[in-house]
Amino acid sequence: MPPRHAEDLFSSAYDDTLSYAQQQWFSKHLRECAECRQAFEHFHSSVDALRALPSAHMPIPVHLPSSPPVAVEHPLARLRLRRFLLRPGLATGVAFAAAAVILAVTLTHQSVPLNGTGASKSVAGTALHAGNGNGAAASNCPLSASRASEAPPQGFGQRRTATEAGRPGQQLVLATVSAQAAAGSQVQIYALLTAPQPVAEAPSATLGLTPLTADVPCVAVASTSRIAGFTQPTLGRSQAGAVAQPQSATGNKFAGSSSSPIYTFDVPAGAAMGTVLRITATVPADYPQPGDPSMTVELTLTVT
Amino acid sequence: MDDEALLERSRRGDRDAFAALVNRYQDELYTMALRMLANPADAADVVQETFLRAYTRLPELHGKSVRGWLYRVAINCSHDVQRRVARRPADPLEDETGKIVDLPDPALGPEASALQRERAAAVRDALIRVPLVFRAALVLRDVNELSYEEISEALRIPVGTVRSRLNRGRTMLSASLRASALFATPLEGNV
Repeated sequence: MPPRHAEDLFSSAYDDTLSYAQQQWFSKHLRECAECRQAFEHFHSSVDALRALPSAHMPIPVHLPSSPPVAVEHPLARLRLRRFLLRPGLATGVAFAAAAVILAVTLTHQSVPLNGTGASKSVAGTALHAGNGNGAAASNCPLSASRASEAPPQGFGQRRTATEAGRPGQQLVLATVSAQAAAGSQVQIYALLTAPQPVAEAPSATLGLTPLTADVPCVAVASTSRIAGFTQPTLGRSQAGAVAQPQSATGNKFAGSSSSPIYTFDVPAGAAMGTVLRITATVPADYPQPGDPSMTVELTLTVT
Repeated sequence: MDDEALLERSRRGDRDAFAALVNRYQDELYTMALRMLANPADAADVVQETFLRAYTRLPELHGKSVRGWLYRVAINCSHDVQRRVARRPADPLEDETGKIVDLPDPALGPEASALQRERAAAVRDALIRVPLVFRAALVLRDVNELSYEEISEALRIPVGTVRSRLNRGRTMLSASLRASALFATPLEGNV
């Protein structure tokens, strides 16, 4: 349509936001130009049709972490600190020296065998707890470091895995022993995020022998129907209060100060047969590295 | 209780206050995401991710409109989903649980109801053909009824850019619907 026509003003005319002068010109033009008059009628009708589409309702409940919301430092703050440390000058030298010490300590710790002690990773602490300054147990999401493990223990037959195309080697695994569970029983849920350990100053690179970071993600359970006495899974505790351990031939693989990647969930005794429980493991965005998208993996349990 | 009060209580660790914010905004965010992505499961993921990000980034909400911030996060999540999820056929009439999302007006007769559903489907098809950058402005304005200023905040673009994107988006929608036999002539009533 040639520029002398009124198409550019259609949207403002629809919203009634034309200036007085524009409105005068627009009205006069539509009286004289059948093409624009017809086009504006169709434009108006089309937008009306879009506006007439009905609202939709969120079909499933929103899963929230079981821990309370707590103010945490945004990863951007750490990026600003890093930029500051990389500025030319004396601060750069100091920063590099400190980074070298930290890197050496980190690598030394990571060389400890899996069944050793004291090698727990503090990614959750640095990425999510930094900046609280109040000393409280302030996990905004129950992410916690775990010992590296690439697969669920034997016996966990129902598994789902999510990967991130931009982060080769990074995966989020969720598994249960079975896809069914009896009402009143206790279910073990394996959930673990593993990711290649980034090299300092080159976050996208990995070492030749890539060490893995391992973190237990947030896990939530939702039901398709309302159930009395419904509680969220707890990390690493069985009904008797003991730390739940995977049934693995490798023994106490997850012992030490790290968290076991096993949640326990009590299927409500009042859950009707056929009720579907949706188990979701979620890792928030910017974790374990700034810029990472969130990851979610889900599976279901049917109450028998 | 208004948004600011709920937000303040959420910052102090009140999970119920945050849940109240979820209840307040989940449906309109879901509607936005559904119109943006035309896939109920993806839309539900967007809402879930939006509130999870909000839950973990409460400090970013200082001095900002909760609604505007949630929309901005939801728009970003929608873009992420659009980029990451391979296109797959969707049944826009059903949600994950099989419920009809866009119900026809029960007061209409069978023929009118069928026509209404066909027109609604045509509008959704036309909308999803609008490029995402223009679709976002279109949905925020004509589905969620945000003001130009709120759209500017949600999309982080100047108000003038909102106007131009909206005009282009609406023009594309109109052109797409013009090709539909159902919309070849000016419409009457709601679809």
